[in-house]
Formats: sequence, C-alpha cells, structure tokens
Amino acid sequence: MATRPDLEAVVQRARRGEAEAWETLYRSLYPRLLAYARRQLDDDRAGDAVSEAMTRAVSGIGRFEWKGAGFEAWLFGILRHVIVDRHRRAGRESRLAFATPRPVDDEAADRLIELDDARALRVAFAQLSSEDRELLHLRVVSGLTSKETAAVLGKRAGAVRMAQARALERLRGLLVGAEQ
Amino acid sequence: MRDTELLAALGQVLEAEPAEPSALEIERLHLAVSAAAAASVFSTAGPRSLRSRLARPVPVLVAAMLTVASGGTAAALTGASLPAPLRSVANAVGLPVDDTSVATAKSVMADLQAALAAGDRARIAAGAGRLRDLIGTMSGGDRARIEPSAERLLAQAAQVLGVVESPKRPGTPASETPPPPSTSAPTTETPSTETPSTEGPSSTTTETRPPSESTQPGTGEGTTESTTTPPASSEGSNTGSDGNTTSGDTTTTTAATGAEQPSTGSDGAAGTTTTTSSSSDTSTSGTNNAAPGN
Repeated sequence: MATRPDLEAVVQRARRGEAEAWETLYRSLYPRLLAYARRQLDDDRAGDAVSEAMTRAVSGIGRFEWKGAGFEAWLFGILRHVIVDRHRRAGRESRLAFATPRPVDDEAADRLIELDDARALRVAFAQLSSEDRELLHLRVVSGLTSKETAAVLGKRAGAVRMAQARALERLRGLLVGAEQ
Repeated sequence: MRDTELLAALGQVLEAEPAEPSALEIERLHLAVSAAAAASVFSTAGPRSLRSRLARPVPVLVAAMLTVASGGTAAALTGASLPAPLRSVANAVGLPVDDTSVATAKSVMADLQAALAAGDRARIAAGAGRLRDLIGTMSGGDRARIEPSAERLLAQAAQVLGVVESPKRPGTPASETPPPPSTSAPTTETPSTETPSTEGPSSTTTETRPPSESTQPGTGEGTTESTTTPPASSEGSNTGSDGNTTSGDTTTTTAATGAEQPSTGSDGAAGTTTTTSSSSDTSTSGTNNAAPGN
C-alpha cells in the first residue's frame, strides 16, 4: 500500500493524463479492489467490474478532489457503484449482498493464527449481516480508514465507527457462542 | 479480545490475495486514458486551479459581463478612458463604447485641439502627423465616425504650420501617396508598384502596366500573379486548407489520424460509452460518496 504522499504524487501525474501513473495506480490497488469485488460478484465479473471502475475513474478524474476521503475511497466508491449497476442489470436486488468469505487457501493466515481460531473467525464472520461484512471488509481488507469507509458507504465517519464497534461486538458474540 | 486485536485477526484471515491485472485489462486502461486525453479530461495546469475556475463558467461569465457592463457604462456616461482590452470586450459585447482605434484617435484629436489652441507648433505637427497615421490604419466605418472633425483639425493644423495640404487627405486611403506627388511621370509608376499591393485594385495595375508591359507581354499573367504572390507567400498556410499537393496530403494524413483517434477513442469509448455515460453518474456519486465523509 502506497503512503499518502506517494499516492498523491502518482494521482497528480494521473490527473495530468500520464498513462504510466494510471497503470501504477491500477497495479497497486488491484488486489484490494478485486478482493472487494469478489465478495459480491463471481470471479469473472469481479475482474470486469474492477476494470470498469478504473475506466470510470479515468474519465471522471476531473471531478475528483483531494478533500475529505482520499483517492482510494473515491475509487472504492466507484467500484461499489459498478457492482450495484451489475446487480441491477442482472435483475437482482439493488442492495449489495456481501458474500460470505470463500474457502480460500489461507495457509499463511492459518499459520499466523491457530487453525481452529482462523476457521472459527471465518465462520463467525460469515454469519454477520451483509452490511457488517462489507464494512469490516473495507476497514480490514481494503485497508480504508473509517473516514474513507464512510465515503464509500455514503455515511458519516462517526456512524461508521459506531457500526464497526457493533459489528465487532456481534462477531465477538458469535465467536463466544461457537466456543460454547 | 479487544476490537483492535479482533480487527487484526480478521485482517489476517480475510487478507486479499496477491493479484495482477491481466494484459487485456491494462490495455483497456490505456485505451481509456487515450480516450480521456482526446476528450481533454486531464488537467494541464496545477491541481485544480484552472479546472476549478472553468468548472463554474456561468458565474465567471456573469461576473465578467457585469464588470464589462458596469465599466463600459460608467465610461460611456463619464467619458472616462477604459483600458484597451476592456474597451475591446465592451465594444464587442455591444456597449456604447468607442472602438479602441476611435478612442485613440479622439484622444489624439483632443491633444491636437489643445495644441492648436496653445499655438504650439511642435505639438501641432506631431499631433497632426499622428492623427494622419491613425486615420490611415482605421477601417472605413471608424474613419467615417471621426472624419469630419479630423479633417477640420488637420486643415487648421496645416494652416498654422503653413503647409499646403489637401483637406481630403484623411478620407483617402492613400496616406502614403502624397509624398510621391513630386513629379507626374512617377505617378504612372507609383500605382503599378505601390497601389496594387495595398488595396489590390488590379484594374489600376493592368491599366497602368501596358506601357511597361510591352517588354513583357506574356508576363502579363505572370505579373498579375506576382500581385497575388504576397498571398502566395502566405499560401503556406493556405495550401494546407486548400488541400494542394504535398501539404494537401499532409492535411489528409492528419485528418486521417485525427479520424482514427476518435474512432479508437470511440472504440475505447464503445466499451467506454456505456462506461462514460454511467461514469458521470458514478463519479458524481463517487464524489457524493466522498462528501458525507467530510
């Protein structure tokens, strides 16, 4: 993840239309954008949604301002709308159904946390509501701050912090329940 | 387990897998960048300086109009002088403000009048000369606006200076013609050399030429062309637009490239068209998204 000054510099170059800067941004943000999209779309459509989000970002960069949340939040916001559009087009409900985490080969994670704990955490996370999962994903996987997450979700930063605290409380409850 | 610990644990469990965009996706991005560049999406200036000003063209335009209108009206009412650029804009907008050249001529005339009143011969000579020069450069309409009083002033100046000058001078475009009237013989030459080039009265040229043309009869056309040669020197620019020979080809090539780009753009935009159309929604909403975070 690029530091803010680095990111700002690259974004400035991207604003001037430097294709190389856009590619740098794309490559550096791609894993997190894709992970976010994969929670809501199948693999093929997730990649396509990320690509479309970048295309939209390129054509809309003139409207981006460095106030409030930063570039990443802006980009995640665009991606979120692309995903909503896809769901609408597919005739599904417009609200995002944030998928349960797929069984990925998280060996590295399993090594870091004890195997059982990791599994239990994943199971508990899957039991959270779609909103809770999306919020926690943006905070934890996408690495956004609460202010940035708020920008993506169209909420206030305070509301996001409250919602996060509640989501974590529920997650904790689910973990405790699973242990018992 | 605290919130921070729980978040960290979640981060490890749900961590994003490393991934790279495909070559196709990168190419799509590059196409989008090219299309956006063709559509002048990117800013060339600082962060948002110019763009932010251009993003609100209506207020800026209204402010400019108000400035010009109020300044112009004030100037029209008080007779105060306006800066030349503001005067040009006000004049173009249709406010009752004199054109820059008329205003300058009027100011020179006022000076000349003052010099005449003071009997200052040096100033009179300078003022009259300057006025003549100005009148020579003015368009017919502008000249007509000041001609009567200018003629009168120049006649007065000529009287004071004791110069025998025909009062019709300011009206005639040949401000340079009077110096040569020394002999009658050159008058036949003068129009052939000077007059045709300025106003292009080719009739005068062809009429006057015959005597000298006798030496170069076949060149008659050539001579007429030589009259058009000055434009031909500027033909460099014309050639392109006329589409002649080489530069015509160049133009076509450029046009072809120009046509290709949009088509590439539209190709990109084809993918992008839908994209772009919805992009306005999205990016606006993207920005809207950012707004609540503020």
